[in-house]
Amino acid sequence: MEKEFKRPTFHKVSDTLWEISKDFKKGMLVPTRIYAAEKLLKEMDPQVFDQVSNMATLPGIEKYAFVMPDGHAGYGSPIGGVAAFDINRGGVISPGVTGYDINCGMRLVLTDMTVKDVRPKIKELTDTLFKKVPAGVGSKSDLNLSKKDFKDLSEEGAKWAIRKGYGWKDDISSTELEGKAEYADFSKISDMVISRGIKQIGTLGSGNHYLEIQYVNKGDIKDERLAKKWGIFPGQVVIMFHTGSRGAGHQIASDYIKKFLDVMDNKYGIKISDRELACAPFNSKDGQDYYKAMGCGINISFANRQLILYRVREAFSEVFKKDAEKLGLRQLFDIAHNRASLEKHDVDGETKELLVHRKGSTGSYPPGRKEIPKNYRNDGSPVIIGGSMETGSYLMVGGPNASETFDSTAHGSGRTMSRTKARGLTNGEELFKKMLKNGIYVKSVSWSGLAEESGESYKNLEEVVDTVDKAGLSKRVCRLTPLSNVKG
Amino acid sequence: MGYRFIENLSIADVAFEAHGENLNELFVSSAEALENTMVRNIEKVKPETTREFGVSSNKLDLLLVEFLQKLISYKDTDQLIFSKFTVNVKEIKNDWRVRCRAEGEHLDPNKHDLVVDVKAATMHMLKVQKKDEEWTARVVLDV
Repeated sequence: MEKEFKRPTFHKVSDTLWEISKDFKKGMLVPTRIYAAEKLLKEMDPQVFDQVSNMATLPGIEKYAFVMPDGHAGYGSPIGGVAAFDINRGGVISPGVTGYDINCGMRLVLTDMTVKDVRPKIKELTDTLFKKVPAGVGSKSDLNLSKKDFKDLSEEGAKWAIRKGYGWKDDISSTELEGKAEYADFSKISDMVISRGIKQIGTLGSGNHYLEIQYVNKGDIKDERLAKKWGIFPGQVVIMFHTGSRGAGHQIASDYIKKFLDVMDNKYGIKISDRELACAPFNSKDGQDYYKAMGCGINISFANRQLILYRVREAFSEVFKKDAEKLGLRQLFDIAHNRASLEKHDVDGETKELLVHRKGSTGSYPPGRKEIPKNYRNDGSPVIIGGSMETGSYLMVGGPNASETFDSTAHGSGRTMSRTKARGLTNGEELFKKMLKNGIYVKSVSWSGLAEESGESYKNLEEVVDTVDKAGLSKRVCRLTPLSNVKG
Repeated sequence: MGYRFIENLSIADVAFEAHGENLNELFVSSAEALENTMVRNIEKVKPETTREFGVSSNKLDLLLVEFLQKLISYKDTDQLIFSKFTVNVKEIKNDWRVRCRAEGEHLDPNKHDLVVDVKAATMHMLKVQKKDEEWTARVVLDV
C-alpha cells in the first residue's frame, strides 16, 4: 500500500548543491535544486525529490524549486522547500507550500546572565517557565480574549501585544515585519479559525515546539565581530523558543486548501498532481483572500510569541528577584520559517516581484535588503536555526550567496525517524535521566512526547549548518548549547 | 475494525491505516486512531461529555478528513478528548454526509497520558477504499 518513490539522477553543481533536471517528471516548468552535502543527499527520503518536483510544476515558478539540507517529506511540498512565483506572470499562492502552521518560527532572547548565574537555579527557573507558559495537548490560553481583541490581534500582530502591555517597544524593532503583516484582513478568516485561535493564544503547543534555556560556550562564537555587535558573549545565557500560529494557522490553511480545490481547475485552469498543492493565482480574488487570511495567521503567530516572551520575562524576574530589564532580557530576533513573502529579486538581470514561499526554511537576507529590520540591515538578517533538544542550535546571519535561493536557508535539523519509531526506541523517563546527566534539565507534559523528540530522531545539526555555511546561504555567528528545555 | 500506525510514511507527522467492515466502522476506527495519537490509552477517557455534529463533502475521502478536523477542533475550542463514537455515514445524491455523537471528557494532564497535539488531518497520501468486503483508510495527521 505504501508508495515507492523513484530516486532521480542528480547532476552535481558543487559539493553542496545538486540538480534534478526538468525531464524527471512530466509538467515540471523548472529544474529542482537540493542543497546538501553528499551524505545528507544520500540519506534524504526519496519522497522529498518527488514533492519538490511537484512544486516545480506550479504556474509562475521562477528559476528552480529548492530543498534545504534539513529537507524532509511534508504534505504536498517538502519541509525545507522554497519556491518563488512571479506574480505578474500568473504566479500562484499555495497554503500547502507555505505550510499549515503559518509563521511557525523562532524567537531568540538575550540575557546579561552567565551560565554560572543560572545553572544553580535551572530547575526552579524551568519549572516556573513550565507553569507560566501553557504547553501540550489541549493547553489553554490564560487570557480571556473577546472576539474584538482577537480581531485586533489578528490585524496588528505583536504590535497588539505591545499596545496591551505585553512587552517592550524594542521587541518590535527586532521582529521580522516589525511584528505585523500589514495586509491581514480579519474578514477573510472563518469562525472556526477564531474559535480555535482565541483559546490558544499564548500557548507553546507540542511536537517539535519548545522553549529552551541555552548558553554560549566559550569557543562556539564563530563571528566575533558580529557576536559582539549583537550583544553576545562567552558564557552568556539566552532563551530560544519555537512555536507558531497554533490551531488557527492550521485552520486557515485547511479552509483555503478546500476552497482552492473547488475553484482551481474550473476557474483558473490549474491542474496539480497532489491535492495538498492546491493554489490560486496571487493576482486573483481567491489568491488575495488567502494572502489576507495568511496575514492574520502571521500576526496571530507574532502575537503568540510576544505573549510567551512576556511570560518568560515574568518567570526570570520571579526566580532571580529582579526586573527583567535589569536581567537584560532583550530580544535579539524573531523570524518565521513558514510563510509566503512578497519580495523583489533580480532574476537574470531583471527585477521581478516574487511571492517567495518558504516552508521549513528561514529568510536569510544579505546586508542591505529592505526585509531586514533597520538595526540589522547593515549586517544581514539574523537566522535562528533550532536543533534537537539534545544537541544545540545555531545563530547565523544572511550569507553572500543567499540570492541563489531567493534569500532562503535551512530552519533546523530535520527529522530522520518517525515519531512512532522514536517512541519504540526511546523511553521518555530514561531520556530525561540521560539528558540530566549531560547537564540538560527537561520539563515535559508527557514522557511519550519527550521520547518522540530525542536527538536520534533528527539529522546531525552540524552537517546541516555546514552545508548552508559552505554554500554561503547563511554564515555561522555562534552555536548555542541547551541548559534546559520546556516541552509540550 | 481497528487501526495501526504506519512508520516512515510521513516521518515528521503521524500516519495511520484504519479498517472497518462498513463505513461507520471505518470512521469510528479513524476517530480512535486520531484520539489515541493525542492521548495514550483512550479507553481510560470517560464518556462524561457529549458533542453531536454533522459534516458533508462531495468526496468520501474528504468527508473523512472533515470529520477528523471537526474532532480536532473540539480539542482546541473545548479541550475535549473523545473515546466513544456513534457514527452514521450516508451518500445522498452524490453528496457524502456523516452524523456523529462523540463522548469523552476534558483533557487533564494529571489524569491522561498526553502524547502530541494534532493540528490537522491532511490530504497527504490520503486513501479510502473498499477491498475484499473491507473498508480501509490511510490518513496523515499533522502534529
